[in-house]
Amino acid sequence: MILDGKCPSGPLAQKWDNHRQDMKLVNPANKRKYRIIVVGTGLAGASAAASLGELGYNVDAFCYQDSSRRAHSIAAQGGINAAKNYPNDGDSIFRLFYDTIKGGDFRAREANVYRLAQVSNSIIDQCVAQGVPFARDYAGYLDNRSFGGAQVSRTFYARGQTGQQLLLGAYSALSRQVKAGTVKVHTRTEMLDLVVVDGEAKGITVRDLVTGQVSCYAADAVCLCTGGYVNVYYLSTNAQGCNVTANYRAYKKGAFFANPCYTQIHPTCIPVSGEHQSKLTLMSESLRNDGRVWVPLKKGDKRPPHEIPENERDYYLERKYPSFGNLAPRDISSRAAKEACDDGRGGGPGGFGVYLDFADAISRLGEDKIRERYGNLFEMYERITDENAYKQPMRIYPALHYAMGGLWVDYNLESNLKGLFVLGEANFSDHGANRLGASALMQGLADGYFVIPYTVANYLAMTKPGAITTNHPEFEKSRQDVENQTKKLLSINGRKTAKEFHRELGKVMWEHVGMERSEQSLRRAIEIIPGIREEFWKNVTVTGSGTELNQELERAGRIADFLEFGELLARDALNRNESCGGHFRVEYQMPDGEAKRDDENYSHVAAWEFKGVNQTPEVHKEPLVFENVHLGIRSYK
Amino acid sequence: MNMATASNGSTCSCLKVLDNPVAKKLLMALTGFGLVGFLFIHLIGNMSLYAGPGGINVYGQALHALPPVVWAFRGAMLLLFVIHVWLGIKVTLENQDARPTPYARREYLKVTFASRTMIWTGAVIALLLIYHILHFTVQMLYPDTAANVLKDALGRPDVYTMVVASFKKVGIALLYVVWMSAITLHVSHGFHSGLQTLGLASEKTLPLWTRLALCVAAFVFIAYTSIPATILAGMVK
Amino acid sequence: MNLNLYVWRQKGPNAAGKLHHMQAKNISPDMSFLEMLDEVNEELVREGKESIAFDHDCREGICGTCSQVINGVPHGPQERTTVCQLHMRKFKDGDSIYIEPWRAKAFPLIKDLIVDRGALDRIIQAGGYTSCHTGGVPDANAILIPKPDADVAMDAAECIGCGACVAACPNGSAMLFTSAKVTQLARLPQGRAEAARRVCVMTEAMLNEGFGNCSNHYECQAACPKGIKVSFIAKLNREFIKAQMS
Ligand SMILES: Cc1cc2nc3c(=O)[nH]c(=O)nc-3n(C[C@H](O)[C@H](O)[C@H](O)COP(=O)(O)OP(=O)(O)OC[C@H]3O[C@@H](n4cnc5c(N)ncnc54)[C@H](O)[C@@H]3O)c2cc1C
Ligand code: HEM
Ligand code: HEM
Ligand code: SF4
Ligand code: F3S
Ligand code: FES
Repeated sequence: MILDGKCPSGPLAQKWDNHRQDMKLVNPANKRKYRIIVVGTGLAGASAAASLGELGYNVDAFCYQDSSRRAHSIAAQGGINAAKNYPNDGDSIFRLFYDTIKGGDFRAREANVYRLAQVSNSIIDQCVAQGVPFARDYAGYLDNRSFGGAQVSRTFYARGQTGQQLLLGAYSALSRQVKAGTVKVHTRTEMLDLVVVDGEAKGITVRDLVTGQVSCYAADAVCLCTGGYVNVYYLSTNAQGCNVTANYRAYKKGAFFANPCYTQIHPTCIPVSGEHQSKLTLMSESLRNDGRVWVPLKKGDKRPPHEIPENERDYYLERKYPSFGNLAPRDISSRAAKEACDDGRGGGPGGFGVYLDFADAISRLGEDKIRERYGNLFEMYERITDENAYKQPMRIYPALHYAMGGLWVDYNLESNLKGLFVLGEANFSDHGANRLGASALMQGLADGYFVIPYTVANYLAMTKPGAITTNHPEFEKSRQDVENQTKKLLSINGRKTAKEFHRELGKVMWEHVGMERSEQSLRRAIEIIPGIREEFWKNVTVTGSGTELNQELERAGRIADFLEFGELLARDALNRNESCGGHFRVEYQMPDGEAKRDDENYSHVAAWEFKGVNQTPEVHKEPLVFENVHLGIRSYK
Repeated sequence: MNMATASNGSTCSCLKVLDNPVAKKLLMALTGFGLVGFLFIHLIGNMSLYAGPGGINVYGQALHALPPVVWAFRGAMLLLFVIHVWLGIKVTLENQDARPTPYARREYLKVTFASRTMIWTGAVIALLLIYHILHFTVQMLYPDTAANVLKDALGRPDVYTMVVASFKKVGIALLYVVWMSAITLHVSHGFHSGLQTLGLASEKTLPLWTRLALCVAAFVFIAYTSIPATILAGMVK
Repeated sequence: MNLNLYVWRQKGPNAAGKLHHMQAKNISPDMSFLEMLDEVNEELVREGKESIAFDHDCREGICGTCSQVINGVPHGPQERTTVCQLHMRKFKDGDSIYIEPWRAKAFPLIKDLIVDRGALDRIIQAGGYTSCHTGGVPDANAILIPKPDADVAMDAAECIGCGACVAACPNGSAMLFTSAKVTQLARLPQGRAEAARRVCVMTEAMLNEGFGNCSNHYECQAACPKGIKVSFIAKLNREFIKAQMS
C-alpha cells in the first residue's frame, strides 16, 4: 500500500495556514460532549491535555509515574530550538526548517518540518508566559546558545535543566486544567491495550499499578504521547520505565510502525562501569563547545591521560572534520568514538571510553568560567565516576538516546487508524533519520500546544460524541486479553528474571543492530531474538500477584513487548539498504566512511503492519517528495 | 489581618484566615516578640533592685500609682500571652498529627534541642509564671515576706526585702534558675525563628539572626539569673 | 563489599510493616544505591520471593521519583544528592544500612518503600501556575526580566518535587516545596499578577492535605537534593504578609 501523508497543497510557507482555514471546528457548546484520552504526560502529552482541556473537551490523561511531572522529558538538559533570530545571526524559519531536514538526512516530510519551524517561536512565547525561567542576559533579554552543530545561536535554555523547566511549565498548565475540572490525570496507570472499533480508535485498556485493577476507558479520540523506545537496547539514556508497550500494542491493533530502525546514539554519555549498570547517563552535548575529544595514538596505551603527551594524542574529530571538529553531528562523533575504541585506543577501565578534555578551555577561560557553564554536569560526573573533570579529562562513550522512528502519522498527526493521534517522540514525524540537538523538546511542545488542538477538532467535527461506550464487546475482549497476559506471566514460574532477558536482548541489539549494522549482523539478530522470546515465555519468573503493586509484573510486560519489537527494528534496518542519519549500514558508506544514502530507492518512509507474532510484518511505503530543498550530500567536513 | 476575601480574591478564601498555617505562625511570632519585649521592660524594672530598697520600692510604687495604666498593660500582656500559648499548643498538636509514624532510625542534621522542645520550655515558662505572680504580685505564697505586709521606712510596700528574703531561700532561687533556663532555650530558637516567620530573614541574614538569638537568650539568662544568684551569694543583702 | 540492610517491608497501606534484615553480598563500590537494591531484588526473585518495591525512574537525579530514607536521612548521607545518584563507594564493607519510606500523614504508604505523593500535585493544582492561555501571549522578549530575578526564579524552579523536605521535616511540613514554587512565580513579572492569591491558596492546600506547619527547624534544606533554600520560606512569608495588606 502507498501511504498518503495528507500534506496540504500550496507553497510550503502557506501550507499550515491554509490547512488551518480548511479544517473544521467544533462548536464551543459541543466541545464538552467529547471525551479525549491522552496517554502520556511528557512535553507532548501534558501540553496536549492542557490545551485540549482549556478548549473545553473532557480529557483523561494517563501516566505510569506517580505524578505527571515526572515524565522523562524532565531529563532533557541542553535546550530547545526556535527560529526567533534574536541574536540577529541569520536565522530564519526557513533555515531552521532546512537544518532540521538536512540533519534528518532528508528522510522527513517537508511540510511537517516546516510547520515545526513555524510554530517554534510561539513555543518560546508560551513557555515564558508560563514562568519558565529561561537564561537571560544582563539586559533582561533571553539568552541563546549554539547547539548540536548548528551555525546559528537559536537554542533557548534553562541552565542544564531545560527539559525539566519546559515540562514543569506544561505540568503547571495541566494542573490548572485539573483544577478547572476539564482534565482528569490518572497517575500510576499503564496503558496495556488500544481498543479499536470498526477501524477507529475508541478507547484504551489500562492497569491500575497500585491495585492491579484492569479497566477500560472509552473516548472519541485517543492521543498517544508515550515517548521513545530505545530501552529495547536495555542500556540507554532513557528512564527505567520508558517502554514501547503503548505504541506496540497499538501497532498490534493495526497502527503502522514507521522507521523503527532510526535510532539515535548520543556521543557524550558516561561509560559503562560494569554488569550491574542499569542506565547510562547523558552528559549534555553543550560540553562539546569547550571540550576537546581525543584518544591515545598508540593502541592499548594504558597510561593515565595526563601522562600521555600532546604529540601522542589523536584529536580525531578535529582531524577528520576540520570545519565542525568537536561539534560534528551526533551519529558521526558516535561512530568515530566506537571506531577508536574498537581499534583498541579507548581510555579508562574496559577501554570503552574516549577523553573529553577541558584542559585547554580551562587555561583559556579559567576554571570559574567553565564551572559557571557546566558546574552541574561536572558535579553529576563526579558523583557517578568519582573523578574530577576539572583536573582530568572526562571519559565519555556513545549510548542509545532517542527514537526518531515511531507510529506512522499523517500531517494531522493521525495514524492510519482513524481517531488515533500520536505526538512527540512516540510518532515518527519530524526528525527523519537523525534528530538535531534541541529539536525534540520543540517537536513535543509544537505537537501538543499548536498542532493537535486544530487537527483533533477536525476529526471530532466529523464524529458523533460518545457514540461508543465501554459496553461495546471490543472493550470486554481487550480487557480479557490483558488479564490473560497478566495471568500467563505470573503462572510461568521459570528460573530467569525478566531483567535477565532484557539484558540478553539488549546485548543482541547493541551488537547486531547498534551503531553499525550489516546485512549479516541484522539477519543474526532476527535469528536470535525469537529464541530469547520463546525462552522468555517458558522460563521467566514473576513473583507476587496481579492484584497489587507489582513492579516485577510491570517490567515483565514491557520486556515482553521489547522482545517482539526488537525483531521489528532489526527487520526495518535490514530492509533499508542504505545508510542515513542514525541508521548506518557498513555496506553503504563513502570511501571516507560517511553514510551513503540511496535517494533513488529509499527516499521513503517504511511503515510496518503487524501480521501476527511469529509472522513477517508487511511494509508499506510513503514516498518523500522534496519540492523546496535539494537533497545534498550531508557533509560536515 | 485582612479578612475580606473572595471580593478581591487576594486573601485566603475558603478558610478563616487564622487557620492558615502561615497566619498562625505570624501571630505566634508577633506575640512572641511582644513577650520578649516584656522580658526587657521587666528586666529594667528588676535591675532597680541593685539600687537598693530606694530603687525597686519606688519603682514598685510608681508602677501601682496609676491603676488604669497598670491594668491596661496587664490586660495587653495577658492577651499576648494567651494567644501565644493557645497557638503554640494548637500548632504543636497539628505538627505531631502530621507525622504519625516515627522513623525507626533518625539522624537530625539541623534540628536543635531548643527547636524540638519549644512546647515543653513553653509549658515550664507558663507554670512558673503563675507561681511567680502568686509569689510577687499576689503575694499569697509566703505571707511572712509579702511586701504589702512588711512596709519599708517610708511605708511603701517593701518589694526589696520581699525579693531578697525570697531568694535567700536556695529552693526558690533554684526554681527561678530553672525557669530562666527554660526561657533561654525558648528564646534561643524563638528569636530567629520569629524573624524568619516574619519574613525578615534572607540567605545572608539568617545565620546572623541565629547567632543573635543565642546572644539575646544568653543576655536574658545572665541578667535575670544575676538577681537570685547575687542575692544567694550574699552580694545583695 | 557486603552490607547488612534493614529494609521496611509492608504489603499494603493497611498491612502491618516492619524492618527486615537482609544481606547485600559482593556489592561493587561503583554501583549506585539503586543498582545495589536491583541486585538484592534479582536475588529475591530468583528465590521466588517478592522484590522490594521502591520508586525510581530517571536515575539521574532529576525526575524526583526515588524516595528513601537511608540511615535516618532522606536521600541518604551525601549532600545535595538523590538516592539514585548516591553511590556505594560512600559506604564501607560490613555497614548496616536502614532503609525506610518517606513518613508523613500527607504521604500514605502504598507498599514497602513507596508512598503516595499526590498531595504535592494538589498543592500545585491549587495555584502553582500562571493562568495564561495556550496561544495569545506576548513575544518572549516583550517583558524584560532582570537577570537576578530570572536567576532566583531558576534557583527556586530546580525543585524536583521529591518530597524529601516533607520526609525530613519533624512536622511533616511541605513549606520548602511550596515556597519554592511561590518564589519562582513571585519573582517573575508573569507570575506577579496572581501572587497574592497564589500564596494564600497554596498554603491553604498545604493545610488541607495534612502537612504540618513550619517551625523553622531548617531540616528540609539540609535534606533537599537540589539545595532549595529556607530563604524561600521567608520569601513565602513576605508574600503572605503582602497578600494580607493588599
Ligand atoms: C537524557 C536526555 C536528554 C535529552 N536532551 C534533550 C535536549 O537537550 N533537547 C531536546 O530537544 N531533546 C532532548 N531529549 C529528547 C527529549 O527529551 C524527548 O524526546 C522528549 O522529551 C520526549 O517527550 P515525550 O512527551 O514525547 O515523551 P516523554 O516525556 O518520555 O513522556 C512519555 C509519557 O508517556 C507515559 N507513558 C509511557 N508509556 C506508557 C504506558 N504504557 N501507559 C501509560 N503511560 C505511559 C509516561 O508516563 C510519560 O508521561 C533528551 C532525552 C534524554 C533521554
Ligand atoms: C529574677 C527574676 C525576676 C524577678 C526578681 C521578678 C520580680 C518581680 C516583682 C518584684 C514583681 C512584682 C511587681 C509589682 O507588682 O510590684 C513581678 C511581677 C511580674 N513578673 Fe517578674 N520577676 C522576675 C522574672 C520574671 C520573668 C522572667 C517574667 C516573665 C516570663 C516575669 C513576669 C512577671 C509578671 C507577668 C509580673 C506581674 C506584673 C504585674 O504586676 O502586672 N517576671 N516580678
Ligand atoms: C516569656 C514568654 C515567651 C516568649 C518570650 C516566647 C517567645 C516565642 C517566640 C519569639 C517564638 C517564635 C515564633 C515563631 O517561631 O515564629 C515562640 C514560639 C513558640 N512558643 Fe513561645 N514564648 C513564650 C512563652 C511561651 C509559652 C508559655 C508557650 C506555651 C506553652 C510557648 C509556646 C511556643 C511554641 C510551641 C512555639 C513554637 C511554635 C512553632 O512551632 O513554630 N511560648 N515563642
Ligand atoms: S524542595 Fe527539595 S526536597 Fe522538597 S521537593 Fe523540592 S527538591 Fe525535593
Ligand atoms: S524542616 Fe520543617 S519546620 Fe520548616 S524550615 Fe523546614 S519545613
Ligand atoms: S530516579 Fe529520578 S530523581 Fe532519582
